[in-house]
Formats: sequence, C-alpha cells, structure tokens
Amino acid sequence: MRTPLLTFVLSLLATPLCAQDLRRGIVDADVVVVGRQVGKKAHDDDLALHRVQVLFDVAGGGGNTAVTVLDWPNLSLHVRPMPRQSRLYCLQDASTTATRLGLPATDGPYYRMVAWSGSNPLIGAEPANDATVRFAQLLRPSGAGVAPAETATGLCTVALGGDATLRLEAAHFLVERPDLRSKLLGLQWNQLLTRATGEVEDVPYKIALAELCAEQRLDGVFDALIVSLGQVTDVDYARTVGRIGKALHGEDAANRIGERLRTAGQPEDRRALLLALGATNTQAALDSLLRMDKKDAAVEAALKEHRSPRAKEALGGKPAARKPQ
Amino acid sequence: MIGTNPTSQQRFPVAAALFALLAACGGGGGGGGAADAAPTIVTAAFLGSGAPVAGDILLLTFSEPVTLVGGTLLTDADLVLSGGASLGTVSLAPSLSSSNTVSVTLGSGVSFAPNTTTIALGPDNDCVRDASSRLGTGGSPVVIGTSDGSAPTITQLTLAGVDAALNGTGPAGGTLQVPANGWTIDLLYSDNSGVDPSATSITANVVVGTSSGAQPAGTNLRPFLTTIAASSSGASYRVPGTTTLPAGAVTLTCLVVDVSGLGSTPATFAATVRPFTDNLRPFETNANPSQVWFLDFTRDVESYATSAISGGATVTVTGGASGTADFDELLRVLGLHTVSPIANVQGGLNSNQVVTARFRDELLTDLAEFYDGANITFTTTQPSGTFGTASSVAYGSFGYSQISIAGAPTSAGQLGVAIFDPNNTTQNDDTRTDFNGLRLGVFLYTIVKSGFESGSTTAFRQTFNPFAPALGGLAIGNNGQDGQRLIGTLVDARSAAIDEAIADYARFTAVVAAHECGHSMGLVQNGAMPVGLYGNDTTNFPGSTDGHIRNAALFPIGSTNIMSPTLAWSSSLGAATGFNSLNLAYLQEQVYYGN
Repeated sequence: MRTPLLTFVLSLLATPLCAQDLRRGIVDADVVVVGRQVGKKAHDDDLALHRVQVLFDVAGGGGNTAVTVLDWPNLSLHVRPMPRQSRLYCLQDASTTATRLGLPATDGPYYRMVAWSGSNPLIGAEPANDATVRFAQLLRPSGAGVAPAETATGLCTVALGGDATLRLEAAHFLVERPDLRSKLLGLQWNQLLTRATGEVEDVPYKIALAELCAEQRLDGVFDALIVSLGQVTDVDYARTVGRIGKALHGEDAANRIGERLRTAGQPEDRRALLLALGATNTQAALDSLLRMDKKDAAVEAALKEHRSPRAKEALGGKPAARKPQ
Repeated sequence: MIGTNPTSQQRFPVAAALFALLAACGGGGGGGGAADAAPTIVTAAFLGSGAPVAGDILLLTFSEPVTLVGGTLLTDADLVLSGGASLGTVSLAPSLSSSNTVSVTLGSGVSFAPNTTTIALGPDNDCVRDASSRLGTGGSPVVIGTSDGSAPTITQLTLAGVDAALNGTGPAGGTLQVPANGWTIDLLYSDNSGVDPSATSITANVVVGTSSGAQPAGTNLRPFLTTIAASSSGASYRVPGTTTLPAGAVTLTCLVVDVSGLGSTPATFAATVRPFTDNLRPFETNANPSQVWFLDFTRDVESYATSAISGGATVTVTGGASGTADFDELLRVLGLHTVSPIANVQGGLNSNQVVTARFRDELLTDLAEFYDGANITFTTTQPSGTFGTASSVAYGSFGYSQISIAGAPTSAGQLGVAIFDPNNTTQNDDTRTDFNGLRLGVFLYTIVKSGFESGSTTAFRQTFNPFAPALGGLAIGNNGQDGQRLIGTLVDARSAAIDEAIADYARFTAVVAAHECGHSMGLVQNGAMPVGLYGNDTTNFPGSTDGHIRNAALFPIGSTNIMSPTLAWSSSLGAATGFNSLNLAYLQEQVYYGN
C-alpha cells in the first residue's frame, strides 16, 4: 500500500490569513536559492528526485548550477518543487539520507525543502530585482561586513513599505531580533509607531507593528495602541493590546484602559476596550469587570477573556475550571 | 438539477431495485404500494378575519409541488371537511401561489370555522395532482388556520450539519455522499409568528424502507426519523437504522408550517446515497468496535539545551537518547517540569507527575471534544499488539493506530507528519522515526523553539515566561507552595498561571494530534464530494494545500479549522477551533467519500 504522509506546519502569527513564515524558512535553511524545477525522476515508488536549476544564489549555493531535491510523491507535503516555476528554495542538507539510500553522488548535492509555511514563494523574472529575493538577502547577507544598522534599516524600510506579506515578515523579524531592533533610529521608531496606530485594514500587520513597538518599550506606546480599539474591532488586536498592557504596565494597564473606557462613546469602542481590559488578565481588570453588569454581552466577553478562576466563576463556570477558554 | 423531481419513468427503476433489495433482505415490512405517494394537504390557512365570506381566499399547501387540472374547480367534492363545513359554491378556478400552494377563492355559502375546521383531500379529487400526474388524495386532516400574512422561510437545509460551502450547494460544487442511514437532516427556518415543528414535512423522491414497510416517494418521512431537536427556529432529525434509503441519487424536500397555517416554499437537497462497504467505511466495526489511537510519549532520540539570546532564549537539539523522553524534556524546558519536583503532591505523585497527569487529562478531554460523535477513542495506555516492521496493517487485522507526541521534526517548521490513509483502510504507525528518511509524529519542539524566540509580549511568552527557566521563570515545583497550587488548595495568580500553561499546552498538542490523526483516518482527501473532502481546493478555499483545507470564513476570528495547513498558537486556543463540519461529518460516518 502506498502511504503518503501529510505534514503540518506552524505559523506563530495570530491570524491565519497571512500565516507566512518565510523568514524562518530563510534563516533555518542551509541553502537559499532561486530555482526552477527542470526535471523529475523516480528513485522508487516512495521517492522522487527533482532536478532544480539554480537561477540565483542567495546564500550557501556554493556555485552549483543545479541541485537535487528529495521528494516523496506519495506524501502530501506542503512544499514540494513545482514544475517549471521560478521559486525561492529554502533547502536543508539531505546528503545523509541520500547516502543511505544509495543515490549517486554525481547527481548531488541533495536537499530537502524546509517546511515553514510560505517559504517557497514565486519569484519574478528578474531575481536580482525581486522584492522577496532582496528580503532574503537582508536576512542572509552574502559576505561578511554588513553592518547590523544597515540590515535593520533595510528591514524597517520593508516593514513600513513592503508588500503585505513582506512587511509582516519584516516586522516579525525585528520583533524576534533585539540586536537589530536596537539599531533603529528614533525617526524610524516614530514612523513604525505611527503606522502601528494608524493601520486599520491589515490587522495582522497592525498587531505585528504593535508588538514591535512594545518590545522596544517606546514611550506612550500602550496609550497609543489603546486609541485604535474600536476603530479596529478584531478580537486578536484587543487581546494583543491587553497582553502588551500587562507586560508594560502590570496592574496599571487596567487603569489606563479604564480611563479610556470612561470616554468611550460608541458601543464598538466600549466592547473592544472591555475585551482588552479582560485580556490584561490583571486583578484590577477583574475587579472592574466584576463591578459591571455581567449580563452585558460585552462584559461577559471581557470576563471570558480574563480566564481567571474568579472570572469563570462569575460567568457561572466551575471555580477551578481549567479550560483555557 | 437540485429541486427537480425525476419523472415517474426515471423513478421507477430505482423503486423497483429497492423493492428487490428489500425482498432479498427479508425485511421492509411487506413492500408493495405505489412508488410515488400522492400529494396531500400539509397545511391550510384562511386569509381574512372573522368568519369567511365569499371572495375570501383559502391557501392549501401540499406535500410536494403540484399542478392543477385545467377546467376543474377545487370544491367540497374534492375535499373532506370536518363538521359539515363547506367552501361554498366555488366558481373561480384555483391558482398556484407557489409550486406547492393552491389558492382557492371561496364561494357563496362558505361555512367553516378557522382554527377549528379540518380539511384533507378526498378520494374524488380531480383537480390537484403532482408532477407525475398523480391526483392527490387522503392525508391527515389539518386544521384551517388564520393567516398571519407571512409565510415561513427555510433558510438552510443540509445533511449531517455540513455548512453550505461544503455540502454541494456552494461554489465548490460536488454532491454529498451519505450511507443508507445514520445521518441527520438539519433545518433552519424563520417566521414572524413561529414555526410549528410538529407540522414539518420531509419527503424523498425515492422509496424509503422503514419499520412500517416501504414508503412511496413523496411520503412524509418525519414519523420515521428520530428527532434530535425541533424548535420554532430549527430542527434536526436523524435517519435511524430502521429507515433505509436506497442507493443512488436522492432529493429530499422539506417544508415547514407556521402556527397560522401558512406553509413555506419547499427546500430541496440533492445527495447521493451509497451503502457502506468495509473498504470505504472509515470505521467499520466487524473486527474493531471503534478506532483506537494510542498516544505514545516515550520517544527518546535527542536532548535539548537552552541558551539566552537578547530578549529571549533559544532551544537547540542534540541527537541521541538521553534516558528521558523527548516530550518530558520539553516540559522541563517550558518549566512545567523541574529537575527537583515536590514529592507526594497528590496520591503519591510528585509535582512533575501531577503536571503530566493533568496535561494528559486535558489532552484527552480536548481530543474527545474535537472528535465528538465519532467512533474514535484516544488512550495513553499502550494496547496489546505491536506493528513490528510494518508501518500500516489492514484495519481489521489490528486493534489500534498510534502516534508519537515528541520533540523535533526532520524538516524545520513541521509540527507533525503522519501517514495519509484515505478512507482509513489501515491501522497506522505514526511513531516511526525513519519512514523513508522522515520522522512521523507530533513535533512540539517546533512550537517551543519558535515560541521562545518570539517577542516577549506574544501569547506564548506571556504563558510560559513565569515558568521557563531560560526565560527567567520559576519552574512548577520550584516554589514550595506549587504542590498546593496544583491540587487547588491554594488559589492565587500563580495557580491561575499554572492552570493556564498546562491547559494551553495540552490544547495546542491536542489540535496538532487531532490534525495528524485526522490524516491517518482519511482527512482531507482532495476533490469535491463524493470524490473527496475538498482538500487542495485553492480556488474556493484559498490557502488550502494538498490534503488540507483552509476554511477561514467558517470559523470566527481567533479560531481555526483543525485541518488547515498552518496553525497559530493563539488560534489553537480559540473556543471554536475544531474540524470543519464536513470533516466532522466524515469522522462521524455521516458522509463518506470514494467510489
């Protein structure tokens, strides 16, 4: 019987709509190239060998003009070479597997594809000018001597002005790399914070920028993010603001949201603020919510967001309930 | 075409085949009877107030679409009215106000009492007939109501609770394939004054075997269905084992009636009935009463080290067995376990063991929730028998499948890899560490490493910062009062954080395990029903991939379809995270794919 495998890959992003982890693929790969699948032959029923022509070497290509990518034709892997398409290939060394399977060295080097979601995007006709390739080069600069400040500035530029996928990737990468983050200038942080507060359409991007600014502990960042609650009603954003508030201000986060709550005019503003209040998971937030009308749907949602035993009890659940939501 | 009954000529062979089948099986309650039930009155409503007078309108809603015989009137002679009531001297020809509703203009001398008088077709009806020219007759008398002016509307008719996007009526196309019985018929409807669920009519365009014998097409099947729920806004009925639909195409027609006597326009649903065969039935019970999954936590092929990076920490892998299961080592990295646990916290278990027990309980609870209604059980106790060198064995020849809950994958970014087993024809060993060069199982190292390297305000970091030593936390068991916190005698902020960390990690693991085990039970076959379950349909379900389906539109923000190709930590915790309705219906054996 043929036994195809299916893989499941991770995206840490909050919203699946833009669930891409290109940056992780680029960083985790041994080799990053722009390639085109030009041939395929079966080793046996379970293994196929894709010949991939190297069109552009981003990192680690070693001057090879072609490589062989292992694939399991009966496996429903997320990423596998697509015939005749120019794509970014984030590859991991598979020489050990190739040796064990007795594959001829003359057809090497052998690789398998990194499994991160979004790590095999299409590339334009001119790889050197392709935005994705330039992003990959930022993350995997060729040669030594590229100043971190230069890399950071490049990432900031992408985060502020790249296409929807790349700007999200750049923002996340800066979140994950404090060493690069620290090289950004005040003006750049102002631009990032302005964008974080002003963005209303692309919520995952807004969240990524919010987390980026929060990581840097920018003055007034939490208060600035609160202002967007209501303009953006997405529950993930409210959760993010609540988490950031607790991380930056502890118990005082609830008071800051409370001040805004007192002047909230629209129901959607109030609902979003209450959600963020619950998401702070602070005692002050819990005390405030318990004083409110628990039959109010917005208050009930906020208490659910708080997730503490007392909040659950207030909602009629078991005091020691351990379910996350 | 959906909603169109076949002609009698088309219908007959199907009926004949069913009767032959019933006879061969020695059941069916005698068979015989007409292949097509005559139309009957389902509900009647008087349009007016007070006592009816000549010129008022009476609406009669029938059990199926009807036509009117030209040149005839619908009069007392065609009907049976209770208590000597009369429609008067009807002089105007009746008309169709919808495909199944006839409007009658009452004549002089009309005499009946709305909300009291009952009406049914009589044996001498020569006016109302169905699409196959069969004249209506009989049926249970219905009370003539007083119209509230607004007919009820059926907003959804589906089978097995499958969403419209996945049930063949959406842009993705296809036709649901169901077994002969065991599935549900689900209705949502609305009305200004409320629907009377006791008057709901459900018919099929085929002969249906029941405990009372074969029922002709067009018979109201509701008495032969099991009511799961029925209210003024919706209803769900299960086709029980005693009611059997014949193989082939079937169109179900449903009609609801409001409390004022007005009937809805019929809603129809086309499906394919295909009796189960063992090779296509996912969980056939001849050999195994249920599908059992063993969750194996024992893999030990590596160890982990943490090191500080600016703003966080990273986790690295060193190959080779360490003497401690990889899963347990990751618990230590997360700070859910400690090297020096508190002894005798509960029932002789130390704090590490209590955490593990709670994790496993949460995991099994979550999996049971995801697989609700499916004949599938999960266990952390190794069943008897071994796969030996085989990665898959015939389903009926072995008692269980298994999967590892373990550490690192072969390729970076994988959360899990499992054998894809269309129609679940085999028991599968997803604990293999070298399946043609790939590890199988659930790979929690992927989430731990990426979580550690994420920003300090992410949900993952907020959950584990208090415990993970590499993130500056104090592992569970390293605070002297953690034992009390674990058993609930001390409730404080740390106990709440402990509860949350254990529950969230279990929840995430459950989602990944449910996903991978789902693959090894046939999810998500590519193609539209009945070929598959819409896997890899990137046009109608953007973001889908081979063997996966992304259904962002069917889940609220913050939750996800379990069989999506990607998973976020936060969305795994979403209260609405689960299998999409079609995948769940497949797991519950209400629908299935394959020819």
